[in-house]
Parts: sequence; C-alpha cells; structure tokens
Amino acid sequence: MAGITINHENLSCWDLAQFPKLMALRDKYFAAIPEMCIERPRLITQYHLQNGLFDKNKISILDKAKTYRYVLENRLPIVWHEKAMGRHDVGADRFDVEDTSPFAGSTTSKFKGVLLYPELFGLVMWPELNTVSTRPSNPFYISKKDAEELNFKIYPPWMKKTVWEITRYRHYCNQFQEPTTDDYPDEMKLFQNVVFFLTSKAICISHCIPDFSMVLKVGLSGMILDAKEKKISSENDEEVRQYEFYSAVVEVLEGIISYSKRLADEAARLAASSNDAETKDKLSEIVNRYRKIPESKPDTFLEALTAIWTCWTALHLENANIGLSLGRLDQLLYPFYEKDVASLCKQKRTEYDKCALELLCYLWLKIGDHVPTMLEAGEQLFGGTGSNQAVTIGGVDEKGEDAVNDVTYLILRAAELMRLRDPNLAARYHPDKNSRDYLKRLSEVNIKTGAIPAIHNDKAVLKALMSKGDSEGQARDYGIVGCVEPVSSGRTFGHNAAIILNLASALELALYDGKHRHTGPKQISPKTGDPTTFGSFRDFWLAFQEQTKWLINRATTLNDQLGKTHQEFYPTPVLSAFFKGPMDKGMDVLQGGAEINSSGAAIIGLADVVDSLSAIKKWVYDKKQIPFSRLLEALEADFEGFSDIFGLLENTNKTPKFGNDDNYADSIAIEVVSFLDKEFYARKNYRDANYRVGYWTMTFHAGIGKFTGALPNGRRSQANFASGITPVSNVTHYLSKTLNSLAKLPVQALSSGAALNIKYTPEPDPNIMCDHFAATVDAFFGKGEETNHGGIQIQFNVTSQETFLEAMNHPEKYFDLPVRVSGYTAYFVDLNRQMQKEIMERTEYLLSPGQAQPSAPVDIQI
Amino acid sequence: MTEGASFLDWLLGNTEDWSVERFLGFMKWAFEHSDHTSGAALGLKGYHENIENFKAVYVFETEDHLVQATACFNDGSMVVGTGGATKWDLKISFKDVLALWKFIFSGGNDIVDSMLANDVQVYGNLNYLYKFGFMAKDLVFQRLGLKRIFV
Amino acid sequence: MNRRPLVVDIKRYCFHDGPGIRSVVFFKGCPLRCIFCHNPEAQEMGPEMAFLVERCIKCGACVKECQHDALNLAVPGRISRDKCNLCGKCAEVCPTDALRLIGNYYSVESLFDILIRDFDYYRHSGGGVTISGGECTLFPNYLSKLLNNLKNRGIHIVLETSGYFDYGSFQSRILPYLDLIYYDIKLADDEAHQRYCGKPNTIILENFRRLITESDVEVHSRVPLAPGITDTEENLSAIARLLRKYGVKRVWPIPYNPLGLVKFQTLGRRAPKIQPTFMKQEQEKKLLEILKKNIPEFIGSG
Repeated sequence: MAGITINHENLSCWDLAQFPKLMALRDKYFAAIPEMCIERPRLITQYHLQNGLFDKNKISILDKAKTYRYVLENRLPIVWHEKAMGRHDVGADRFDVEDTSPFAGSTTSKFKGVLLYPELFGLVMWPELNTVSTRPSNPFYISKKDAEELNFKIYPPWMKKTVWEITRYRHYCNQFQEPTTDDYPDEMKLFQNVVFFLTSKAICISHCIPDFSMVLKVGLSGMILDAKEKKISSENDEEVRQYEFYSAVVEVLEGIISYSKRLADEAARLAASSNDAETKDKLSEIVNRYRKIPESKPDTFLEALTAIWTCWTALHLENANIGLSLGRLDQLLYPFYEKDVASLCKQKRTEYDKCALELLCYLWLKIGDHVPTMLEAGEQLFGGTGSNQAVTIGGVDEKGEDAVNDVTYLILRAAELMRLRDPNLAARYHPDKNSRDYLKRLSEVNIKTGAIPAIHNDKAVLKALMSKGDSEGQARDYGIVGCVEPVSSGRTFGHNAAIILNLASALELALYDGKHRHTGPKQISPKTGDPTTFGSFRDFWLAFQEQTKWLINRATTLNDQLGKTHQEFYPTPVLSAFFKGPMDKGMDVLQGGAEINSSGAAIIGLADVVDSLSAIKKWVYDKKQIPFSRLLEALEADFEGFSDIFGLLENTNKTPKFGNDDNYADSIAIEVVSFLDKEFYARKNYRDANYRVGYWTMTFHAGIGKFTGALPNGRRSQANFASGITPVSNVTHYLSKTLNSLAKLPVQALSSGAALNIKYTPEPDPNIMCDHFAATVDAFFGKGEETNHGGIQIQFNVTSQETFLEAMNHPEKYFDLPVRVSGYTAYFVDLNRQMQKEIMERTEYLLSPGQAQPSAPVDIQI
Repeated sequence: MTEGASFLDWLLGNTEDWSVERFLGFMKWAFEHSDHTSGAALGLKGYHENIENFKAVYVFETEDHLVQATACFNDGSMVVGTGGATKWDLKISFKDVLALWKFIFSGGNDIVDSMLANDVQVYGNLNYLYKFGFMAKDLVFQRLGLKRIFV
Repeated sequence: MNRRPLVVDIKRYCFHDGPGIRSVVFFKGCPLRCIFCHNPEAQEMGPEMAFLVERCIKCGACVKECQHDALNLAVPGRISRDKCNLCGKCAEVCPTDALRLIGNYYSVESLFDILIRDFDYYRHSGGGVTISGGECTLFPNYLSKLLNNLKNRGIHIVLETSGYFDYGSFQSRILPYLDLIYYDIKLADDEAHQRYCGKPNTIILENFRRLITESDVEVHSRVPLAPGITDTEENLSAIARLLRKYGVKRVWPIPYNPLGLVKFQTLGRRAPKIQPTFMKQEQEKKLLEILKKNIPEFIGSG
C-alpha cells in the first residue's frame, strides 16, 4: 500500500539528545518507583456502597457503566505530573518531575502507578501495606494515609465480593453460604497448589486488542449517536437487554468525554497561573485539543494519538492491566500521518517527522505509566513483568499486501530510543510480502536494543488463525496481545491467557499414578496405572494423555465458572464500546458480543515433557536398558548416585531431544502439540467458542519449575523449565537445527502464539550480524516457499554474558537493559535471581564463529 | 495476663515458643486495650478499628489436627477458643507453629519456601487471610516496632 | 584409496568457512602429517577411539561392554590400544560420550539428506556447503556423487584442501562442481615442508599453479600460521613472492589454533612439541604486514 517516503537517514540521526525535555522525563521515569494508587479502588468502592451494588445478586451492565462514569467524572484530572517517588527503601524521597508531555491524563493519579482492582486481585496487597514501600525487590510506595484508607475503608467491603470468592460461593456451595472443608472445590484447590494450572480470570478480564477504528473515524460523539440510534423501545427481554447495553455504552463514552473536558479545564487553569509564555502556549494547545478530542473525530496525527491515549486510560479503569494491548498502531495512525505530510515541503517534512517521533516517544512513556499489582511472594516466583501492553507493527494489509509504512519506521525508532518494557513491541513480518529493508531494520533494532522487537511470521500466523475459523480478512488484521498471542484486532475477545497449564504436572501424574510429588501421598487425579507395569511406550503415552485430559477438564471448568462470574458481576461496557461486534449485536463482549469468542491456554514445560517422553521411549522401551522402576528411583534421588543414568538422559547424542533436528524427538513434539490442540479445541468455553493453544510462559517456567521434581529428561529438581516453545538449553549448538525442529511443528496447533527465545552473542560488526540475522529469519519463516509456512515467531536476546554479569553487580547502571523473558520484555535488573540465571544459561548462539558456545552453568547464589 | 510493658516482655520471649493461642490471646488483648492508656502506650491506638463491623471465624490447626485454635470476630469483639468450628471463613493448616508464623509474618522468600515445602495449607476465603496477615503484621511490626521476629 | 570415506564431524550454521550460512563436512584421512595440525582426528583414514577424561564418570559401562578386555578404569587413558579393535561398542554405551568412535560412514544419500536440511539457510544468506577434512580430495568418486547432488540443487560449494592431490582425478571428478577453493600453502621451502608436514610441497605448488592458470574457479590461498614454523618472515615472504608470481593479490592468514594438542592426547597419540597457547592479535597483525609488504598489489584478506 503506502510507499515509504520517510527519510531513513534523518530518522537514524535523531536521538534522545535532540529532545532534551523528553530525555529528562525518561530519566525521571526510570528513577521513579511505582506508587500504589487508591483513586480507582476508592471511587469504585464508594459507588458500590452508595448504590447498594455489594448487596446485589448480579450487577447489570448499566450499573457497571454508571460506576465507571462516576470514576471518570470524579478522578483527578492530571495534565502534568508534579512529583514522583524515588527508591524509598534506600532513603530516596519525592522528587520533582518536569512533565512536559503533550498527552494529558494518566492511567492512575501517580507518575508511575500501580493499578488496584479490588474486584479481582487487589486484596492480595493487604498484608504488605506496611512493608511494600521498602521491600527489597521492586518496591511499590504507598503513604500511611492511603494504606489506612485501603485497610479500613476500601478493602473490607470486597472480602466476599471478589471474582474468585463469588465464584467459590456461587458454583460450589449453596449460594452465599460459607463452604465447609468437604465441598471445597477441587479446581480451586488445584489452582492453589500452583503446580497444576492457573486461571487468570481471577485477576483480569481478558487479553485482547480493543477497536480504535470508530473513535478515529467518528469520535466518541459519533459512537454515542450510533448507540442512541440503536436503543429501541424495549418490548421483549432481548430488547430490554439491548436497550440496557446501549445505554451503558452511552454512559461510559459520556464519562470519557467528561474526563477529557476536565483535563482541558485543568490545563486552562494551569495556563492561567503560568508566567512562562512557552508553557502557556503548550497548555493552551492542550486545552483546545482536549476540548475536541476524543469527543469529535481526530483530524491530525497528534489528535489521533490523543484519542487513542484518552480511551486507553478509560479501558484500564475497567480491564486489569494484564496484557490488554493496543494493536496495529502503524495501520491506525498512517492515514492521519499521510494527510498531515501531504502538502509539506522537504524541509517542513523533516521538521514534522522529527516532531512525530517525539510525540510517539512521549506516548510510549505514557503507555508505560502504570504497572500491575505484584505481591512479594509473586515477585520471587514470577517477577519482573510489566503490564505487557503489546503494540504491533508491519505485516500485510486487508488485501494481503505489504502494510509497512512510514509510521512503522517511526514507531520502530521510538521503541529503539525509549527501550521501555511497556509497551511491548511486536513486529509482523511477511517473508514474501514485506521488504528485506524492513527485515534488516527489525534486525538492527534487535541488535541495538538487545531484545526489541519480537518478530512474528505472517505466513504462519495467518494459517494458524484461519485453521481455527478466522476469516482471511480477520486473520490479516491480527495484532499481538500481551506476550506473543495473535488475535484479530478489535474482533477477538479471546482470553489467550485464560489458562496457564503446567504440562509437566500431567507427566508427573502419569509417572505416579495420579499423584504429584509436590502434593504428597494424596490421590490428585484418576489412577492411570503404575508405569512399572506398562508393557509398551504406548501404555505410558495413553496414561499421559488421560492425565492431560483430566487436567484440561479441571482447568477449563474453573475458567468457565470464573467467566460466568464475570458475566454476572463484571460486565464490560467500556471494552464492549471499543470492539467489533457488540455494537451490532447489542451485547457485551462477555456474553459473546465479539466477532470471535475463543479462549486460550498457554502451556508450560513443553520441551522438558517432550524430551522426557523421548527418554522414556528410548531407554525404557526401545532399548530396554533402563527399567521404569530404576528411572523412578533416579528421579526420586534427583539423580544423586545415578550419574550413569543422568549422563545418558542429559546427553543429546544418546537421548533424542526436541530442537536438535532429530525426528525421533521432534515427532513426539508434533504429537504432543497436536494432541493438546485437539483436546483444547474440542472444548467449548462459556461463550460457546473453542480454546486455542499457545506456548509462552512469561516467568512461569522458572516459578513453576521450582515446584517440580526431577524429570526423565535429566532436568534436576527445582530447575527451570525451558521457556515458551524453546528447546531445552544446549540440546544443540547449531541454530539451524533448532529452527528446523521448530518449523516442523504444525502451525495450527500454535494458534494462540509461541515464544521462541534465541540468545545471540553480539558480534563486533553489527552490519554483518544484521545480514546473518535477516537471512536466518527469512530461512526460518519459509521465505519463497509455497507450502512451507515456516516457524511462527522468534525473539532474541542479543546481550553478552559479561554485560549480564555486570548488570547483576551494578543494577543502577543497567536500569534500562531490556531482556526477552518468554514473550514479554522485562528489565534485566528487575528480574529475580532465578530468572536472571535462566536467561544467562540459555544456549548462546554465536553468529560469528558459527557455533554456539557451550554455555557453562552459571554459578549464582539464589 | 499482665498489662503494659511487662506484657510486651512476655510477648518478646522466645518467639519459637509462641503458641497460636498465646498470640491470638495477645491480639485480643491488643484490640480490647487499643484505646486505653495501657494500649496507647504501646502504640495500639486505633487498632480496634480493624475489627469494627468485622464478622469472621478463623480456624488454626496442625496437620495432625492435634493443635486447634479458633478466633471469632464479631462486630468489634474477638473470642479465642480451642477446638475447631463447623463454619469458618478461613482455615489454616500448618506443619508446626514456626511454619505458621513464618507464613504470616514473613515476606517473599519465606512464603515461597513455605509453599515449596507445603508447610502451610489454606482453605476458604483467602481475603480473610490477607486481612489477618495485615492485622498481625501491623500489630507486631508497626505498632510494637519489632523489626523481625525470627532469627 | 578404496576405503570408504569416514566423516569426523558435520558442523551446521557456520559463517566462517565460506560466504553466508554454511554446513561444513570434515572427512577423515590426510596424506600430510603437519605437526601443527589442529584437527589431528582427521589425519588417519580409519576409525579411531577417543577418550575425554574430563567427561568420564567412571560408571564402568564400557568395561562391561568390551569383549576384548581393552578398557580399564584404573588406567588414566582407559583404552589399551593394542587390544582395542575399534568396534565402538564402548562408545555406544558410554553415557557421557567420554569414549567416542571418531569417523562415521554416511552413504552419499544420507549425507546429502543432512546437508539439504539447511537449504533455506544457504539460499537466503548466499551460503552453501563446505567440504573439508582431513583431505577430502582423497575420495574423488564419493565426492563426485555428493557434489553432483548438491550442485543439482544449486548449492554453492566450497572445498578446503591442502593441495596434495592428483590433479587429473581432481580436475575430472571434483573441480567441475566447485564455486570456491580454499587452498592452504603452509611452507614455501620443500625441505621444511617435508620436515613439518611429512611430504614434499612440489605437488602442492604445482597443483596450485595449475588451478590458478588453468581453471576459472576462484581460489583463496590461505596460510596457516604456526609459531616458529610457518610464521617466520622468511617463509611468509617466500609464500608472498610465490603468490605474486601467479598474480594472486589476496591471501588469508589463518590464526594459530593450538587446540589440536589436546586432541592428540584424547586419541592416545603423542602430541608434537609446539606452542600450546593462542597467538596474540598484535602478532597476527605483524605477520599480515609481512605478507602485505611482499605483495605490492595486496588487496587484503577480507
């Protein structure tokens, strides 16, 4: 579509030094620790109390909409932040923020805020209120006064009204009666055990990409008009429901307009009290812009950014900041950019582009203005995550043609300069449609930043999505959600992270006849037989399948129960207003209003399980060299005293492993992912659509790994699992072998995304490295091949071991060193020791001498 | 039970000797005396507010069910008992009392360790655990000013 | 020369043995015996047993497996090489690959199947396959079939050679398939060559002359640097003059790699007495200068 007219040389010349105010603000951003913001929970709780919502057996979408309107109308309109908090635990204090952002409004009332959702998971912070400000790892500041308000006023009414508790009371006990030990639900107990599965509906609504096309086309006033026209007189139940839905949409949209007008008023007040002409001008511009946007449709690039930003803050008032994603910003913004630059002469165009880059950088800081709730124990297990707001660029357009445009390159440059973990930049690359120049630029940014962006293969993703029923048009407009999950932008209300399933626990249950080493002698799942009595690998495979199916059933059951609680207690008028489908059907996305209604499961431990199955198949059954009983003894002893068995199991030349281009193991991987895909896809969620499967693990591969004993692939007790879909470290030193194994996997079985972590050692010559990099991606993505779709995704860490070690010793110097964990980007220094170790121990592929260095175990005290 | 500083001395004894009942008993005393002179001197002022309008039953028991204690909160009052209860909001089952105190009073690593070792199991409404955790930590760390309770 | 060719190793995703991304096959067997050889396991044509002591966990599986009483855990090198018949059964059962049988036979088809797996990586990077050794030209019939298969798929082929081969057979069986030849010239003096490499250099230099003058295939001349042996000013100047005679303007010195020393031990062979450490970068630069000095038209070694 759009020809590339932007001047790349200019773009690469502009760096933060050209934008001193922006740079200063970015420095403050990194100096600030997150502060817990009680504004949202306070206003939500007040409204619930004032209107008796806590006493209701069901909360209507209109009640919810009025709640959010109340928040929008009463929250503090902050144009520029004045103060931020330094590392309180080391005696740092409040400092001034010279905020000059062109974007007014904020997700919380703080410069960098922690969003609290008492409806969901906010109460977990309760025991830490007095200590969270000074905890050693990633502290959150909260004042004594705010802590008291949470303790006495805000938290108490929610004790029996969180999504988790309502679900427990409603679905497993007599309604609203306290449960006794006996009927305490299995699924919830399994969840609490951590090792089996987690269901994220307890902590958030969904992973998805809202639809911004309408606000950009007609403004909120146009959307309100549409909703009002659709509100017809209510006769039957269906019409009453629809009437209520459209009324709710109007409530929240009017609330957002009210918020933006109050921002304008606040800017006007600040302008009046300012003595500085430049500041006055800036504020006056904000006044005018926020009086217009997002109520009216935006006409310029800046106005379009403003519309998206303002609506984004409102979306986070409703939807927890866990993976809610922005979608294809380059596609949404390009028409505005194109119009803006159409009549500009060369010099003006240069000035404009520089300004556009600065605006995007400012927006990046805004998007990163909040972090999710994280308790201290969670920090130890799963820490370092941001809110994973993915931004997607590139790929193909609705006709299947090259969609890379000037804004794509502006966004890439902004991400390269800002190096923020949030937003999490995802690049789509179609090997047969997008240019080599674009790919080389993606490679270059990866080499320069060390981790940004992840690259998704359009050919493979489109095939995967269409295999699950998405139309070609829906698939072509996919964006990345959270970590790596592809969904049709604004169309798929597909909670990709609904279930996090630990596949290693299914293996464990099969090894121990329905018991798990972590939970002791208790029978957890159905007996599938003592494996020492099995006559063939097939017997064991069937037992593993049975246990997996049982786990899937438990996890999907809990997910659906929580989903039903969402439907009745957490209707989502804001998200529904910004989605394709609900406005036509007059139906909340939670009720099935969206065009696509899938749910998703992410699998933890794939490579370790596949390698374990391969080891069992080869040594117990094919070679009959290790009896099952002896294997179990070795596991029990964590291989102490079994060095011969350990040596065999760990040795890639002796025991076939996934990721070594070895069909023995790769075929097992294909069987496992196909089986999981078939089983999940066969199950319907509470919105009558299917489950899709993905392979990305955030930091769960390290956290859950701690709870898992030794496995038959030679993984020792408590060790990390391999991350995402990545093979176990050091199965090969030849990257092409690993990538060939990955490309063998049927892509329809990876329809909820996959994270392949590849660690490269930086080369002395970045240009040569860039060529190698691009060639590798093209080969992996099946460029020029009719039938071969190639691998679905690849993401890199291009940081040397020395830099990581240096960063561990001097975190203050490496505060913005980004790393890919599994899908999302984190700051290396924010990660706990176990995760840092995991990243450092990943196979390191050296592009330069052509072969990986065996990455010796890193000796780090955890 | 004695009052004031001597009570604190009593509390400050070997923390490993704290029984559940003993701690709950102290908590009850703290609620009841938070607005008296003796409590205020210990920094307990306002502590009682935590249990105003609060109704809840907590059961504490060892894995072998031998040690049991209950705490019933009812609109500002707290009753500590031995033996179980048929209806409860939260039941904590623990390996030994030290494991319980670590679980309640410690931060990240100890909680993770306790989960890894399965030292403590929690049943029922976890929000009640969070509230109890706040009240216990607030009392011991903030109000009594103890820096840490385990060596 | 009728023995089956054995392969020491197949490296993949390589960048340094030719342009782009490549796979490199190392054949076993070499007519030379350079004392500074860094791949001594590729010298003998037949299979060999290697033992890597640091990997041995002393589990004793090998001792149980051996039919010839050739293994003993009490002996530092484990293998009694006079008793060992190279059956390789011990290596099969060794859990940690401390015992390895060096040299595997692949049919032309099975080797091709492995090399073709990275076809896409060759294609998109301008890479291909590099045939190396040992001295791979020892197997003209085998190579002819393999290279023909590769060429039919349009794969770029690099051959690495010591230059010690029969030109006629090379010309008819191998040369037609090559895109690039890496040709080692180690010592200009015939006597020194005989002493350090075990064979005279006359055939090598004559083959080089013919390749340069008679064939269109690009030849990169390489000089392996061995301290005190090939890296003398005298030798380097002499090689440079020789190259100049044929109008060769570029030369690739190969950094000294002492890692072969350890391999001698693992193979149960006496290691030659040569410098056991890597060469310093400044030294390499100095040597490059000598080459440059003697080739006025020197373009470079990149």
